[in-house]
Amino acid sequence: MNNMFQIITVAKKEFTDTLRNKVFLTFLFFLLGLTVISIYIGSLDFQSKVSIYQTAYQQLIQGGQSVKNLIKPEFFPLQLLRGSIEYLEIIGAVLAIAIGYLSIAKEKGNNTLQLILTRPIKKSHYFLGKLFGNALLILSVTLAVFISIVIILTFIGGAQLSNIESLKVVTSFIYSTMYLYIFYLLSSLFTLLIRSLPSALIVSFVIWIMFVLIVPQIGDTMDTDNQVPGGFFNAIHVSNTQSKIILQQFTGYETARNAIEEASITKHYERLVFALLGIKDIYNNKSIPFILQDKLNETIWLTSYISVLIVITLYTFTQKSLIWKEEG
Amino acid sequence: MHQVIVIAISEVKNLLRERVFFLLMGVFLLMTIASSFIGWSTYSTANAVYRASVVYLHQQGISQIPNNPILSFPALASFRNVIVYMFLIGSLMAIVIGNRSFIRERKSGVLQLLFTRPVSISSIILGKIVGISVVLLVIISLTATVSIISSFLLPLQHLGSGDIIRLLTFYLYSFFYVLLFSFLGLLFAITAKSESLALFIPVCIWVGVSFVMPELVTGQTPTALLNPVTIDTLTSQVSFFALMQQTLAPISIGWHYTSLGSQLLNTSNDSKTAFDILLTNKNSIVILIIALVSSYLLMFSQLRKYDIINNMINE
Repeated sequence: MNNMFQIITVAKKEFTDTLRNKVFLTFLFFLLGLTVISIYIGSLDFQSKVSIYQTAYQQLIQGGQSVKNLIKPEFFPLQLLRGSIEYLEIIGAVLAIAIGYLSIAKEKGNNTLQLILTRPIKKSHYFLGKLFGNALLILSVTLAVFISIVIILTFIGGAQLSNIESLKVVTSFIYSTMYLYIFYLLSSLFTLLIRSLPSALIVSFVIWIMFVLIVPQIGDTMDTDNQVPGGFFNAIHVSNTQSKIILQQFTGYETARNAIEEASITKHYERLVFALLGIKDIYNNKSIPFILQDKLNETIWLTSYISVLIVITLYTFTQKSLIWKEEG
Repeated sequence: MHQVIVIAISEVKNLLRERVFFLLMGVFLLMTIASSFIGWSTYSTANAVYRASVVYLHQQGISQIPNNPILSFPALASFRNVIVYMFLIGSLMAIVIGNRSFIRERKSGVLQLLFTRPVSISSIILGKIVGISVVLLVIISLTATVSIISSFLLPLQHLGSGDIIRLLTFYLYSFFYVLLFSFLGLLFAITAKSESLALFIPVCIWVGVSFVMPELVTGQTPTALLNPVTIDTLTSQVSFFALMQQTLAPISIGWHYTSLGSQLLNTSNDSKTAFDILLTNKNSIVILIIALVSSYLLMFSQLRKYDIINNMINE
């Protein structure tokens, strides 16, 4: 009971400390601001598609041509969240890095850990308190983002979310929390392992830029269909089904491309959440169990990353010398 | 002048002692080499896919097949990924270089010592800028050399002299672009109260310049902006974007960089010379110069106000 109390006390301290931190608050407001902007831009983009459709429709009618092949853009409110999810991938990850870094850096910088451990508290309990407190903090961050999303969609966008759509938003919220927690753990681990604090932060940024931006970009650039604006296969009049048959001859290349994408945790998160929110068209209007079953691989990746990182970070924290010295 | 050179030499020597600098430089150079390989591999595969598509469509009884769109690609387009790596890793590396340059001196007390010597503030800043510029110029020259050599080693379409001039112009423009971010790193290393803030603030600005402003101008999502094929496609059907293009585009440095970079690396397949492109995009160059001069003046004014007693850096 006493152990549990200690863990909760450390967690509460961790939570309130970070809430008062300027870096954290700056990034949080930045992220919330971008969420609003991206949904607004998403809605403008949809308006643009509708306007293009209406113009094409009018032109075809006036020219006496058939409008049978003209596809009317359908409004799916969750598809407006593409930009917000991408900002969670990018800025959310930086925010999580900031939380992880600040959580360890404050102890290293002020030498407070040595003082705390003179008290009757185990290192592992202290660290579990940190993990728990920061998990709650990250949960609060994603909660704030998703509440903003729902408010904007409902009250400003005038969209009525169905029960299934609301559940999809909640499921995406859970996976977003898991994704950000991975970056928190990575940054904590580097700050623990690397003696110099600025170096730890820079290394975390390098990992962030590789995982979040570079590796997925390489995968996208290597996609044959992305070589021409509007699509390579579209340019040579090959349908989606035909392209899949043709690409069967290039399994080696496609496997390598997929392996590069799979190296990035961001891509796993993106595939899962884009499917849930119907941003990836083929999953639009599909049930949550179907999507989760189809994307089970991505869930396994996210869970494995979290489990492995918790074990490594816990091991590093409990095994590392208490006398931390920061390089000058 | 002598003081400026001494500070610049010391700056270069100090940077060469930093392990994180080598880490970033290594990642940057590696990605530049990889980009040539990725360009070559994608180009060859797309060609092979086209040939396989022709065979398949013939088997399906389709005889009218459009020409291979990949063949119309200019040789320079194989390097278009470099724009993204310069935009991402190059800028981050420059922020770190600028940041380390000043934070190191604030922490070690060298700055306090410098102020006791007859060295002017402009000499300190100029010395640092010269040192940082030399380092960045060497790194970018290395990447340019790697790009040119790889174009001859890998069986891509070979670069002509006009292409090489365009490629070198792109690298020169990139040098000034990343230099701006090193100025930002330097500026916040002077003003920020903690080491973490000194890094987080320029990173925040960098995200704003690289993703938020271009998104407002083009309407493209952040990751779509990383695809060099669509990088210069504008969505102007909605009045909001038309308004943003009028108001925000002139000052959106990130958008100017990707736009001019794409033109120099010939993603639209034209036959213009580097000079013609620079001339038609003189606004992009002017805005970069204004940003560089403003950052320099800000650094100068902040360092003049710098309080050596109450400006101890902490975490």
